[in-house]
Amino acid sequence: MSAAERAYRLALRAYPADYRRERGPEILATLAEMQGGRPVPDAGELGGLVAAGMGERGRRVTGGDRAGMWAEGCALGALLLLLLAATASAYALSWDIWYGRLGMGWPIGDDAPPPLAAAGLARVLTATLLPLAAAFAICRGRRLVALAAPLAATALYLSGMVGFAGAVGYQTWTPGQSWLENAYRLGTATFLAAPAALLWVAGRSGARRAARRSLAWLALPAVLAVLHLAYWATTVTFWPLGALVLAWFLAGRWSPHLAVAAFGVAVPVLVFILPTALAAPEYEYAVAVASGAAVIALASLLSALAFAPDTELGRPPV
Amino acid sequence: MQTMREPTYFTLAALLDGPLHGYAITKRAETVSDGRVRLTAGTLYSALDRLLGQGLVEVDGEEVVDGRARRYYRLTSSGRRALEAEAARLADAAAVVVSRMSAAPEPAA
Repeated sequence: MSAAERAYRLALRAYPADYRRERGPEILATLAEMQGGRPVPDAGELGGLVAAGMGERGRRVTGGDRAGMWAEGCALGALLLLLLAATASAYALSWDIWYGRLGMGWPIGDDAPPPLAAAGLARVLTATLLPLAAAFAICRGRRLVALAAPLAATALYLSGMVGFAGAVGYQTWTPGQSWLENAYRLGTATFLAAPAALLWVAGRSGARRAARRSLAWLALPAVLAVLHLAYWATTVTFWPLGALVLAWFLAGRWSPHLAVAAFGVAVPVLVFILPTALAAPEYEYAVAVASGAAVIALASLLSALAFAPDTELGRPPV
Repeated sequence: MQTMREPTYFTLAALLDGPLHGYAITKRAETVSDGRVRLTAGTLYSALDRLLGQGLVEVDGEEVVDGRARRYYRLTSSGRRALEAEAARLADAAAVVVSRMSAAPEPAA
């Protein structure tokens, strides 16, 4: 087997397995004729195979309906962001319990709210349960409830009443300070608001109905939290760990969702979160965000390929 | 019927003169488009899957050449009609501009 054929066989893995069994030999035969004995595989052909393979996976999820594909990607992205938010908050709650420090402020981060035991517990529970409730609503196909919860979370955060954990650890908005002084805490606000924006886009895309999803998705925070405790790390390792578990989840049972999910996560990260997170003054935040962004950049590259529209007729040749 | 995408259009156009196998379709599409359309294998088989699903194209037969299986595809009658309709639509769209080009004043440079 030539090096070119090996590369093409590898790229063919972007297709679902049964499609590969059915059509793989024919596609490889066509590629062999195109190749004509040249040893180096054609980069355009490799990219084309990966794009078409991901597209085929996406079609299986949404029945070839392009609007449905975008809606599915957006809703799935919102679901994942909400689960990540719930995990980060639950993680902080576990620290509070471990150290018996409930009511003594947040154990991590330097934005400590005033010490009030009952109110402290209520705050952490709100920060955990609100995103979880929205995630549950998405799984049940209730788009309006799912949209309201992250908006409520954002409002609570911006009022300074409840601190939330986002992509860059725990943060509490300080209403007394100016927007400029609060600027680096905007990362969490965008993290909380992004699911609402995604769900709004999903609702406007003209897709048939909001899809219902397996409630097994709600187990993801538990898996993430165990990993956090195992590493005994702070929430700044959140993105790399999240990406790891996500990759495992998607590559395994939900592999047909890979293309849409990668898109759903990449959009909010690149548009909403990354710019504000990188503006955070803490060095370790930037490191965590950069490593997470590397994984997400790859995911967005794959999804960009999968979602690239074919050339439309009438477009002038470049 | 919605607008046909360019790879789809030229895949159908390549099959006008008779059944072809995958590689021959890409070569023919390149020729009839004056080298403008270069189908990758991924694009070609996505288009063929769609066209087979819509009944615009069907499998004509298979043969083995150099130990590799070749599958031939041919245009169905509804495929020919769809291609003709799209060509007419494109011609109409072109006519809107072409017929008025001579009459329209040159824009000032």
